[in-house]
Amino acid sequence: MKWFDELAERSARGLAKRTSRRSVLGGLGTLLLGAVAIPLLPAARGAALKRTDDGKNPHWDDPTSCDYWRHCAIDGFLCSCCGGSQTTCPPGTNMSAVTWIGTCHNPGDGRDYVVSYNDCCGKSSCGRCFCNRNEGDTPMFEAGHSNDYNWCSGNSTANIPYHCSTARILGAVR
Amino acid sequence: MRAPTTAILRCDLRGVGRSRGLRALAVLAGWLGAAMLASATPARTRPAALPSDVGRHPTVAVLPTPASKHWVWVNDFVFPHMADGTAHLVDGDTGRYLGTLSTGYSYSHLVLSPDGRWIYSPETYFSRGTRGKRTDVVTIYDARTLDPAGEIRIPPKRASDMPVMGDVALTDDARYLLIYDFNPAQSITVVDMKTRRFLREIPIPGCAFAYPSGPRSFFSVCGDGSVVLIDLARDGKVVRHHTDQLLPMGADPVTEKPVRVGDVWYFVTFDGRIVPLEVKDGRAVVEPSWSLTTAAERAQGWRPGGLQQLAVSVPLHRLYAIMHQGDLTTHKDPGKTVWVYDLATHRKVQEIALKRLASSIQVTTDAAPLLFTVFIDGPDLDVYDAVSGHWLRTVTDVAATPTVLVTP
Amino acid sequence: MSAARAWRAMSVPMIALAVAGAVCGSAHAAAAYRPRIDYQLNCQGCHLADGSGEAGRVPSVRRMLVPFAEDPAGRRYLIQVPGVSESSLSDRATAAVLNWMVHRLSDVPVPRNFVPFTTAEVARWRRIPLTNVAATRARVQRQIDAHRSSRARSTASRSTDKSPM
Repeated sequence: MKWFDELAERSARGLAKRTSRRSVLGGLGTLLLGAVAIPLLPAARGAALKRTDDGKNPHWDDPTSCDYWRHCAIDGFLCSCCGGSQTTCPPGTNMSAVTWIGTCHNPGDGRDYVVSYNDCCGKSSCGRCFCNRNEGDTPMFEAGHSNDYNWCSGNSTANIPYHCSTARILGAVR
Repeated sequence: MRAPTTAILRCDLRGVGRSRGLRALAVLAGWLGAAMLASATPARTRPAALPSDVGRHPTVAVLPTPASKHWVWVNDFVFPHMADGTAHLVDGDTGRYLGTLSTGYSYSHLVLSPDGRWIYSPETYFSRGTRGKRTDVVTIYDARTLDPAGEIRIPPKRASDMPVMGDVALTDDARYLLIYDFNPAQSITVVDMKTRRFLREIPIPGCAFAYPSGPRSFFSVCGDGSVVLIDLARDGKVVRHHTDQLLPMGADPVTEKPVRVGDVWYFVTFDGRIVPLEVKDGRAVVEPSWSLTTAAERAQGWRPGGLQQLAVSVPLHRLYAIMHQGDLTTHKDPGKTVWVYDLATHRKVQEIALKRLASSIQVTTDAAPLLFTVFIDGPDLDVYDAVSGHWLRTVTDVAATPTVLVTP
Repeated sequence: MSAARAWRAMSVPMIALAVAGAVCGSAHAAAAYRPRIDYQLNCQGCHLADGSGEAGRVPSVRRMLVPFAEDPAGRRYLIQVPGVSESSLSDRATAAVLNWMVHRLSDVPVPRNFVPFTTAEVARWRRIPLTNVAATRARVQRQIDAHRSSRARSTASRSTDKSPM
């Protein structure tokens, strides 16, 4: 991306200061609440990923990295960086049952998995490890596949305060 | 007496420093009297006349009326601290920051009443900040003082989403405020702004947003590209008509960021196709689509992107689009150039190179319009001449995560 | 997570379905998967794995699915409800998901003579939008309830007739 360097420069201030260089890459994506997008299958996720010269994603197995394979369509702060994990909410928050569900490709075994991006709700934004990967995101008209909704919206208990996002595996696609 | 005093004050401020906090302190000191200022910065104080505001009570500014067409509201949902939504008013002609609204959790944007007297702002609050009982209201602000002048309770289900203009809209007769709900059931909350009362909630299952299309009508767009047309005109009754699929979805869908000229809403797809939808008299018709890009430009990856990615000037009959290069999945990416089109010929008439990345743009409604640009990562607002494309000024430190821009 | 563990996680009964207001439509990534996967990708986000939904926000399908599928108007409703009709699943895949849901997510036993949803049936009804989803659902529910109580009365009277007396 032509604007990569400029974004990286900007990362010295504002929201970007607290996020990684690649999160800024998301640009607009730098925002979104909750986890909401659905990945294309199999995801063509080249643009935003840091890759080594041989085309590998060196962080595909690191849950605190935006490049973690399960995060292929996540949008928000990684619960792995917020006191929780990719499957658990941080202490004192509660998980939104209503969410959106997509798929990600696991380079470890070469299979695609169904991933549920449940948000953790009830506290202000965690603010750490912002991650936005937008492959397959649809406009909000197709609500179930848009990463622009805050899915804590479906949480009767917390009623929208968004804290961070998980990436739970429901199973293999095939 | 006033002029020289002002000069002294300015001089002192320079001496005090550049930070906002220190400037504010200095102003406070000014209120307390020149003597204190002098003691704070003895080296720079001249033994001159007292500041003219000595002996006056502290006052609060009011805005001039009517509002200038060159003002802009920069809405900010403050992503890292979402309980603290804000809207910032800036004068595009002078670059002066004029005032702030404090607008609650997961803020989208305000709507200006056409008579210029009021500002309508759908807001969400919790009894304990980020927890406790949720209350949603439409706050009515006095557009001159920016004081809350009233509020209307609405069902606590206002959508929490990436702010877009379709979240909130006023019908063309300014009577009904329409608010998009998502919990995740979808509906439109209708508020009667004449009686200042919540009127009703209209379910729009499978559809989203409110796009005004007449004195008391609007439409929402459904997930399969069909459109539901809703008319509130007859005795408060709701008349609705659900069309066949009109708008493209699927691999190259229209975004939820259209702009309007009269009866026509201009939607744009991920790939830069403009799909005009004419809605009037209870009917919706898709006009022939056209592309923002030539085949050669598409081959180079040029496409629109951003949050408020389109803007129009009705007097100039021009469309403005934030453009960047990237694949189909970069539909939200910001751009560093704005392409300008003649809406009659569909020809590109101009490319405006921006000083920095933009994710939202807006063009003022007058015949000599300004073009405003912001980037979602904040914090500055850039102002351009929307005709020549020349950069005019940058207003620094306006917003943390600016979303959509609203002009009078 | 290993693939084996993932599979075990999947073996938890996945349920769910649909309803009024909620979205859960699907996107353009409409590849053909097994019905369970299609359910997960297109419905479960709102209706949850067991179809129970979220009280006051997303209706439960657990008690309504079979009675609706047994009633002509109810069948149409299940096809026309936006989460189903606006999905990007093909007519065939949509019918398969509906049948899967009936068998996997219902608290009400599935009758032996249950008539499966067909591709043609989905094709016939899904493109006719419901003008008022909630009202339609309520009306269908009332009809079903009325039917049931009249059947219950006739059953009761038959058993009375048979009673030795």
